[in-house]
Amino acid sequence: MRKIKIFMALMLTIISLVVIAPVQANAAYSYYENYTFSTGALWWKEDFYAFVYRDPNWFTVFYGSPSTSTGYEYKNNTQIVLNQTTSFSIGAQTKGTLSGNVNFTSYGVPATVGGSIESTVSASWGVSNSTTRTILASAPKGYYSYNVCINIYKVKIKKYDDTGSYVSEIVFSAPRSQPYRSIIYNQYNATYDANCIRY
Amino acid sequence: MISSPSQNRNRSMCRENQLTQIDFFCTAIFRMMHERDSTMKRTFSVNIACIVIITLFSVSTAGCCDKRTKSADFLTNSSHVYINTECSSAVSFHLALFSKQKIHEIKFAGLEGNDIYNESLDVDIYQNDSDIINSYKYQGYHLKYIMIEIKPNSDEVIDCNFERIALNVDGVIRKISFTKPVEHKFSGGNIFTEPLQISVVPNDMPSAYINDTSQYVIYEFLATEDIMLQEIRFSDFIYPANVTYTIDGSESMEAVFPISVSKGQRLKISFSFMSETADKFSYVTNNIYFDYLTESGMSFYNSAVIVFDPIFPILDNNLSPIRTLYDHIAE
Repeated sequence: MRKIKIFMALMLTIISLVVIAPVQANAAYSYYENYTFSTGALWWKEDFYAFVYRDPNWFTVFYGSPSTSTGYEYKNNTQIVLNQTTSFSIGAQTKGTLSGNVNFTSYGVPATVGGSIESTVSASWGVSNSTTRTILASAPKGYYSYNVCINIYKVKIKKYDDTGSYVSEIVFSAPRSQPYRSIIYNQYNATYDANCIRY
Repeated sequence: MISSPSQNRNRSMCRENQLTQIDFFCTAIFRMMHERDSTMKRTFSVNIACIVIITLFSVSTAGCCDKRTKSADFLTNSSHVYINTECSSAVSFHLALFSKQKIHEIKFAGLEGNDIYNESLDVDIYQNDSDIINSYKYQGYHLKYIMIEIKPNSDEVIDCNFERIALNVDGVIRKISFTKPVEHKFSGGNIFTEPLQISVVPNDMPSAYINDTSQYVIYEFLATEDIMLQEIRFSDFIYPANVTYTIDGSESMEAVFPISVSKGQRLKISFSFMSETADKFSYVTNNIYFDYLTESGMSFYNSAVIVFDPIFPILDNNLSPIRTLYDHIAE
């Protein structure tokens, strides 16, 4: 039993050295944690190792609905006012709601993979013709919007078998903040097209 | 009954007034009687008279104090409102009114300060609450969360600084004092410039973000020419902490100013909001500035009006921020 434990620790160390080094040099993902898990039972039982990396520089923009966004308005040479005239709210967000197309089965993802905030709760603002943001005439021409956002982690999980061979990986989003609101601008299109998930 | 610090001050002032009045009348009576007669019998009568007068005054002045403390029927968060803004169109802010009577109508009555001209300003009041707030009651108090919007009615009005606002609340004039006087200039505001175009500018956050290093937000820009970001600053109350940035999705780096950004690069800069005056109970509004230089040495800035709200957003219909705000005010 002791030999197995030593072997597993050795494997984890080797995998850590192999896996972390390239990812640290790769963009904004950084190592967060590792975990082990098993699938199947009895003679079908398989042990896996998983390494979790996170990139905190992402956020979700909720738009496309008047309840979360003013929609985009084109500003030419005159001032515009982004105006939200109704109360608005967003539902609770989890890694599942933020990553609808990701299959989490066979990854044994622990509940705290996103860190301290695993899921947000629903949020609402009371508004009576009060949410306005003025964009001055001197601002660059283009499309402006006022939207609800939440910050998220982009999470990458790499899966290895018990021999240390790479098996597969998934990338998904997990919430890391409660909601807030932002002015968003795009010079050419009525959309936000950089690092974010449009909800 | 829960009393605010101002009510406690009122009570101690009343007690001082009582003692001064009693002192004055006793002295006067003693002098009068001494001039007429100095026999023991008369002295005894004087003592009785003094006791009667003291009792009467105590009752009457206690009544006076009771009238003053009736302001405990109405509390606001004005001692936790911090406003120092620049915006050409208006100054606006939220105010929480806690009242034992449900409030139905609020009208603007006036602003008070050393250099304020009410005639030059248009003031509107919006009820910025929701059904869940309207039906909520805590410690016998109803909450009315209002937004006050002040606009200049001529180009000659350049600022708006005041210490008190008078509101007509269901026919009763309530004078609300701000511990930190409101300061506003009718210029600037959301200033967005071309060389460092904005992409995302967060500007409306819960006050719970203040002094919480785990809550940091990302400001995103696109450089349309080579620039040097010189500084990130706020007009008042708040300062950025734990500033990190990425350029074109690079690994996150600790910010050391100035930060060089080349034409076509996307800058994401994130930080948390720290304060020595404000906290999670405060309503704060001020301006954030991103100062930068272009390659030719011209200085520019992007600026936005930033709000921190102690009540909104309401998370999962949980009204505990209202309870903690009330408890904090009522201490």
